[in-house]
Amino acid sequence: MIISLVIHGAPGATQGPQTALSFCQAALDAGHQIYRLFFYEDGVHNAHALSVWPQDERDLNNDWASLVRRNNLDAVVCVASALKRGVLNEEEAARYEKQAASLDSAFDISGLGQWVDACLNSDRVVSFGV
Amino acid sequence: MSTLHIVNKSPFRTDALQRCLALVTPGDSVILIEDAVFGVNLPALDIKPLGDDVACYALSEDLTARSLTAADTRFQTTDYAGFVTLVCEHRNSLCHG
Amino acid sequence: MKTLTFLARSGPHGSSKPKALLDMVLSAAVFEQKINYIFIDDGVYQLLPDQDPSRLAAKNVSAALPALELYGVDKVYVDTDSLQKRGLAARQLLIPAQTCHADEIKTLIADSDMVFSL
Repeated sequence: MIISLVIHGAPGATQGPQTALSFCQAALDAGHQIYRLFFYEDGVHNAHALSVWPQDERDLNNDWASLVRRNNLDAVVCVASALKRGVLNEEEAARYEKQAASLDSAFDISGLGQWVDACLNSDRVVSFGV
Repeated sequence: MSTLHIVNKSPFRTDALQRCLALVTPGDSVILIEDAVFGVNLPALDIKPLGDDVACYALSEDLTARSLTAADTRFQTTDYAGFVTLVCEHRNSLCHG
Repeated sequence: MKTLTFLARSGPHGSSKPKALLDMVLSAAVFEQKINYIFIDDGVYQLLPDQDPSRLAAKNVSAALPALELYGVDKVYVDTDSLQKRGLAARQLLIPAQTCHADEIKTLIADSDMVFSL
């Protein structure tokens, strides 16, 4: 099947993102296609490049970026959610004259149109962290 | 076609499970994940709408993390692979948080 | 074209969920999908007129609801049990919404390709 995920919730603050990642891995292992990962609302925090996790805690930011790169997944953070949370790529950081870019390069930044597109092109869309 | 209801909050903390029960239809399935697995030992009366025609699951990884078991309860255990299968087998999924 | 059902379950001003769901509804509408927008549980509070969050310095997200019509979102429902439980049964609502009960909502959900709830 073709599956897309909508991920809400910041890593560590709520279990939703971890569940989503485990679900995503299980879906890939079962041979399903992951059409898109859409990070919405606080879910955009999963795409941070600047977080520093203690050694004895799970670095979900790194785990998401690794999962996306390893499987060449289409991972999008919602631009409206990302901007207000300071999750910016180089282009947005320059546009809004902010000190730093914070979005991991494994992720793209785009609008809800990408989520609609995922709904149109997926057999199943599952939400996590709601 | 049927719906997979995904509940992720503890029934002792919010009414997410109750709100889920209000929308369950025969043929649907319910899966408890994350803190919702605290609900596995709820008395049968509290989950009455979950008749024999609604399959009920609890995510094993979340049960184990919390030192809980679904043995002798209304809920079958399943793992992430089983969760994926459930999503595929139902027309859509609805999160109750 | 897909049938997308949205359950608005959160009250206004206490979280970003009402706006987040409305933004999804409007995006889906722009792409001309079949939409059911159901206000249920605390979500019914979003439909109260005369909300004034000015003292919170907050945006009144519900003020955008009358624009649903312009986007072609005309399947808007409100759960009567949720209204009654909250003592709102007699209150006028901000926008036209078809009253419904759990059974109708279950049917809408069963007939949907995807369901989103916030």
